[in-house]
Amino acid sequence: MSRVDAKHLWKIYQGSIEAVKDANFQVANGELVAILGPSGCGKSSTLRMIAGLEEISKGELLFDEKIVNHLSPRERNVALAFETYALYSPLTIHENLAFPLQVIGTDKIGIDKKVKQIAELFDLTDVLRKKPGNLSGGQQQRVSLARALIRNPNVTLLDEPLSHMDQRVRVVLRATIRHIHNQLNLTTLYVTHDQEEAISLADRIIVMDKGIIQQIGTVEVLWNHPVNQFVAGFLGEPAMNFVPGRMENSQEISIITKEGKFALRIKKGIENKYIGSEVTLGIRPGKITPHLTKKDRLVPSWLEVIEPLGESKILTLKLNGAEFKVITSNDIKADPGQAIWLEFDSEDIHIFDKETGNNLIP
Amino acid sequence: MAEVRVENLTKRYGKHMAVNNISFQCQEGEFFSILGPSGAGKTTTLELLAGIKKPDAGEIYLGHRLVNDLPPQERDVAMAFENYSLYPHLSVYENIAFPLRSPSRRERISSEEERRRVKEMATILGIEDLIDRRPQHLSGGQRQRVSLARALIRIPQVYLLDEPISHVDAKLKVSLRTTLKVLAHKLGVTVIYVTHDYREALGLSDRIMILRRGVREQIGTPEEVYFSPSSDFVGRLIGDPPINLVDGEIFKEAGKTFFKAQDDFLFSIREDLVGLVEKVMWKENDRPKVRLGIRPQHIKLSKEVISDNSLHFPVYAVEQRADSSIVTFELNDTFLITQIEKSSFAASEKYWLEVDQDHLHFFKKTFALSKN
Repeated sequence: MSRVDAKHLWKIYQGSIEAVKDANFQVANGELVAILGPSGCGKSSTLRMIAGLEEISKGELLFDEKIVNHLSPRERNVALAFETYALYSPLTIHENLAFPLQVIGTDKIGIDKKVKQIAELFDLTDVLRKKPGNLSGGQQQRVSLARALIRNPNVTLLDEPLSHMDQRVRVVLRATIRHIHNQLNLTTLYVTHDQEEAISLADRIIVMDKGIIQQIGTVEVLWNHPVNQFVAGFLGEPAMNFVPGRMENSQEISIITKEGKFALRIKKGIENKYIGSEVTLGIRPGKITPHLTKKDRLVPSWLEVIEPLGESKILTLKLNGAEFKVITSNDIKADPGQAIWLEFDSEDIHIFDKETGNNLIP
Repeated sequence: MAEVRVENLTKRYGKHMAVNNISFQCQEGEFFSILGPSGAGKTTTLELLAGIKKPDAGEIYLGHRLVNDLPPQERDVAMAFENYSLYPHLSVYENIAFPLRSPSRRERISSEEERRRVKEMATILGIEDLIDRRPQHLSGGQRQRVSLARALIRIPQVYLLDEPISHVDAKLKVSLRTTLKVLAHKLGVTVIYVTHDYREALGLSDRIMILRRGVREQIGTPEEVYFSPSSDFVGRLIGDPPINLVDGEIFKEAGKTFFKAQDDFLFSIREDLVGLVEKVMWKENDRPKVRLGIRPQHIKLSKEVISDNSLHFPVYAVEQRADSSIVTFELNDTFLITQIEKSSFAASEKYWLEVDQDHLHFFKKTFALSKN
């Protein structure tokens, strides 16, 4: 398995459309890295450049410190799997799995051994004689992944392989992908628009927007120290709440509502130059405790609806006229229109620049 | 606004029973969801209510009117379809305004009033910038919101909404769900809402009816269907990560009742639960068996043994979520998924796990389990 280095990668279509702008990142040997972002952010273009399916407009791509820009996909020895499985329907599962090995001229004994191994790993032993049409979607995706991995690729590239699977199959296949990644010590890049998927699977996540890498980090880093409002808002469902506020001093921010001015403490001090300026306060829905009675340092809001979700519920509130969400497992009973008093966890208050969206206490 | 009452509704397509003798009553102003996998009969039920299809048997009452023989336009219902069904030659504006211009409407509204209402609805659904476009220039999610706006533009006796936000992307879906709930509450309208997504059903509804192959499986509030699923099928349909289902043998030893799925998956069942087990047990090879249901949030994990009822397994895989960890274990016939507070668990190390007996479910077996 290889280490991947992307140095100043650009993808420019038709001479002017910049799909990927100056991407710099590394994937260590044995690491699983997700590229996460909304549609059109450049994540698939990045993957396709690494696969060799798309020419690199500018920059260098290295596998184990060797430049591979001009190598074909086969020469790069990458494994690829997509949302669609692209299995050969007239062939059995065994034949499908054997195909990449036949292409490189492996002998029959070698093929049978490899097929047996990979089938065991992917729980496909019982279906080797079947044809793809007789398998469930989840099994077909297993075959597709197994086929991609049978050649001991240098790098495994997965583009939204689970995006249309149903929830249970997805959870189980994610566990399988993670398990096999570890077992075979793969180097994997996984493209997804689904933040939950990226969080569940990846050692590190590359967050992209508008062709630009916004931040690279572990879930903990992205979750607790997002560099800007985009990253903060993209991870987490429902998304982080954003409310206008004003820095009163280096450790206090106030929110002004119709009901008055409410001061909140923040964990880290902010640079002096921001004192007195208008900023955006961010707080995650799970970091707010709702109360039915007024107390000091609680911010008032008005209940719109409660959505039960089993173990927890989502409260949608109006805070100073804007929508605000709280997730709680408390047994709170209230009617629409009722006042709810919110306790903000000062550990989780983020402050963003009102203009640039940059995190001011990263 | 009207209540909806359905009695013994049946619809066949050839030999296939799409809707099989379903009865339910949905109160005036209630948000009532129909939840089920594809092929459960959800859409057919809605089409029967709308009058697009005719039932083979049974009665449909809207308010106090028996509407079986009324054509759709006389039923005073508004329907949004999953496949949009927009008029391709009309702009988004004209599509949304269409129901306001229908010749069957008694009173006509002024064009200013029409413009105001179309704009208001388009704004609520976040498509106000698209109103001059044609449907073919919209994404699936945008078309779906146009279709929803067209359904919601006038206030009928009943709204019938068929997967109205299924094609919208994940982020927007959460906010549209809220929008719909707020809107339904403000208007006080009766809504029948078809979905395959349990989150939508739980989040939106006053009550939920779960359908399975044309048959009613359970009706209840979101709390009832989540905490007291009436079958393994309902349990599996609702919740994420999904509920664990494990089949095992029941036997008694030294005055205790045990559940055993495999040699190393064996624990004693609390005495007060044994009655529940006995109600649903079946015999296989002359041995009593039961299907155990336990949600991933209700399994404890520890490095040390928890009690003499703990099980010892190697971790198959660990997934992180934003504020929890999903730890999976491999059993002979299935994966056991657990969701715990965020912590570092190493794959292939062995851990002790124990099910929370306050949250055990026991079911009859109504479908075969598989690893996939």
